[in-house]
Amino acid sequence: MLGLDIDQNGFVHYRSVPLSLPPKARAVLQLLLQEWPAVVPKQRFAQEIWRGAMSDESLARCMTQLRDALAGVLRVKIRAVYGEGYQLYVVDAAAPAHQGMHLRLLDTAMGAPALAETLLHARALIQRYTPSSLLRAEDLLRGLMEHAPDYVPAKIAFAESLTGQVSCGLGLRPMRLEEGLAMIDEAERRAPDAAGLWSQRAHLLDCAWRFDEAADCHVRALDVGTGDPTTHYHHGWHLLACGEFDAAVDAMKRAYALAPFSCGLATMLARTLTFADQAENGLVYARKAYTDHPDSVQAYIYQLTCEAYVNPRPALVDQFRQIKLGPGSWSFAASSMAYGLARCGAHDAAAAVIARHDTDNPSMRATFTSALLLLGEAEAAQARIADAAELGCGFLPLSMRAPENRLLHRHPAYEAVAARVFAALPEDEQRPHMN
Amino acid sequence: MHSNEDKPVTTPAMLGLDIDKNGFVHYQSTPLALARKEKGVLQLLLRAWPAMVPKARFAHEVWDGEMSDESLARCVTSLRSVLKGIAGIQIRAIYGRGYQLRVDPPALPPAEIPAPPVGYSRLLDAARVAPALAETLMHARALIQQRTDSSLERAEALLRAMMAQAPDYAPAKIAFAECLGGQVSCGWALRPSQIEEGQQLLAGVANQFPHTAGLWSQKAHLLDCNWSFDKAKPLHERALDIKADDPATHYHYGWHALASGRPHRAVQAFLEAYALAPFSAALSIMLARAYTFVGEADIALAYAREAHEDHPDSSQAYVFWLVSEAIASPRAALIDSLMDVPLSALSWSFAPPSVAYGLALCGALDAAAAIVDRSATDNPSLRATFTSTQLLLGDAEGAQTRIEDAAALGVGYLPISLLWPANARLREHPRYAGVHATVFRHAPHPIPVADPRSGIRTGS
Repeated sequence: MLGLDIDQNGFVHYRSVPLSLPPKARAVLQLLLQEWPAVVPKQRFAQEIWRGAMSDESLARCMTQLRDALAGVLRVKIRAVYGEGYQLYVVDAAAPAHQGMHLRLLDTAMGAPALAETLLHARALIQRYTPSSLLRAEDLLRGLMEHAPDYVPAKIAFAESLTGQVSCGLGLRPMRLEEGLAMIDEAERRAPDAAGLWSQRAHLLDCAWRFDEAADCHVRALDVGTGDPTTHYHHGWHLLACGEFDAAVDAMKRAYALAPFSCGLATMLARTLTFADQAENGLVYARKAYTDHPDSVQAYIYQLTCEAYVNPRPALVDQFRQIKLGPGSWSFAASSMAYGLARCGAHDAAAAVIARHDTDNPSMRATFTSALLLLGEAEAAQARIADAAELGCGFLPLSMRAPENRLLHRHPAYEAVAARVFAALPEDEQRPHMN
Repeated sequence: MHSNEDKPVTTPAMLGLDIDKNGFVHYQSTPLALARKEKGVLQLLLRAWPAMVPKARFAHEVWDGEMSDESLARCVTSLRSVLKGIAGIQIRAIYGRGYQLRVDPPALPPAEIPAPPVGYSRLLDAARVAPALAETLMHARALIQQRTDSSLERAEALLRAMMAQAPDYAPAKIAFAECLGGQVSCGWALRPSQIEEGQQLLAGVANQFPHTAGLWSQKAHLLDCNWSFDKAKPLHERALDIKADDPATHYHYGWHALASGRPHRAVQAFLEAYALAPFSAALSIMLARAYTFVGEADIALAYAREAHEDHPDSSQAYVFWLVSEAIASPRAALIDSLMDVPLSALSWSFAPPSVAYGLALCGALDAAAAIVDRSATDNPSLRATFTSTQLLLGDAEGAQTRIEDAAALGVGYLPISLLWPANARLREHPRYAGVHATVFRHAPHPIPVADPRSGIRTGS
């Protein structure tokens, strides 16, 4: 119930991850678990573990090691019963498990420092949402999984790097999502309670347009992951894809409240608000993201784009023109720039940006539809959507529902693409996709 | 009484006080020379610890029944004077009833046997709180690592707000002290009172949560920032004993070694930190910097290049890489890149002195001089970071004046600056020895003014 178990070989697992303990400490923990909730008298430790030659101090030292090891197991503590022995006890059993703790971070911290630091770095790279940072994250996580196959958070983060690539239009093949799902299955076999596992599975399914299957996974994820910002973010993404914009705003707000300094989350919340026709509100968050992250190109460009969406004006054109693009830029930098320029009346400059990215992969090319629509090229926009749908482009559901792409819905060929992309909406969300 | 079993209890034995099987009381394995009655009283107190011993028991067991309150009090007084040398042990009188041995853990808890690494203690501490707080802490720590004036300002503001909101969240206080250390390392002219604020916070944590990861190391680092190397040293050693799994603990020890004249030990410590946290740009840069102290510019360059590749968006990694190139092989081709480095609050705090030094090494003396001139109105701490450039420009007098100003202010980073080989020529100045003596007066071992390696790398 608390996630602490002994396997048939006598190894103690926490949430299915074996605790690395020296032999004596492991045996002591086994004894405490076995006898729980009773007090284990000192003599039993002496007889069964030390074979007689035990000092109180060596037992106490062992307890210190165990307390350190159990520091991550929040509701289980070791209590010394004066003059008698030791007892494993559960703190406040009525409280929901692990309430008020950062579970994902706890899982991360169960690994050795070098593993945890590498994982944190890889996750920070994913959050940057640039093609180079995402590929680097994938590499690092692959290495981490090889080096430490038991370290479950790496598998979940690996899947996250795949969905990150989908979200950034890197033209990931649907096959790669299958790889991610297999990785999550593997993680589940090792640690069914790992933080973020169900949410990540749900997000992979969403990226594969399997919204109905994803819906169940999100429910399960939210059941245990109410404190996890990423869980709410993924759920918000799902709701956006399903056209539930107001609910999506709520989910993104919850995510943002839990991680108020994630640049990616703040911009995603801003974007979600534009879907729900609250663009002015979105602009507030876009500005906040840039204030909090003055060195983030992603925050800067998104704020500009949001300004252009809410209040297009020629003064923004120069700012858009000055943006430098490269492999290290935010994945949506070029398309945002094209959209912003077109929106502020600089049609030629916008067309030039689009032309420069004409040879990108179909997924990336589909990010330019909003600019194309402003330039009056509905036909080209529709063609790009159709190509991206052919590829199974993961973020297409969001693109198609984006407010700046609503004009697309009038195209005669649009309905066929929509029927394909939204073929697997959950039952209660089977509603017209036309606005 | 044990009121809270969750808190680790310090026992008399942990402080070194023990009774052997013959009833002799030992302190750190040496028998205490005690009169017969004193020994009897202390034995009783130790055996009963932590309980109180009623007067009647002393009367019965030590005096065989015939004891006056006054003779017991006299005996306790002489015992107290014997125990005076043992920090943390006290005999307390419970008025009218008896006496009790009290163990108050001293400021330094006895070193524990280091537990094998199970997880990452600092991260475990951080995660045991509401997610929003943990996320904010992680963000603030990432900002500290960025080492820009803007990031350090934001980190400080966030951490202050967090401490006000969640006063029991010890990791926020440790991170606040870490932020102060970062500001010192970035040439902020912190006053001793600001360092004192950090020390106060850490003292509070030491009382409330003495096992918080990183506590002792952080305390030591603030002492180093005040040049109190002798006081810092045992704290570093203890910190390494307790939490050998913490990268920041090794980093701080490396900083200490670098600032107190042991660059080879510093390299070793930074390497250990690097093994634990291979993706911290600030740490990789410190490792590379330490290699320049031991004359290994090429190794330094390799780490600098790697940091830049790992952190392509980091101003600190980029500028440090450029200047490392210039140190390893100064060439005119680097000048344009150096000139293009943006210098703002969002750039690495050491970008201006680094760019100036790089330019001077590559022969762009006028451009270097212009940057040095612009620094004339900076605070004394930052101004002192330009001395290596000034030396290349032949302005030894100006360099000496700047280090004197920084020394007068007590600038935390100054010891490292003074010992950097690129500043070796400072030592030729007639007034240098005075500054050196002041800055290193608390070094655990003497640091000679005449450095045998003097002049090995002055860029000429």
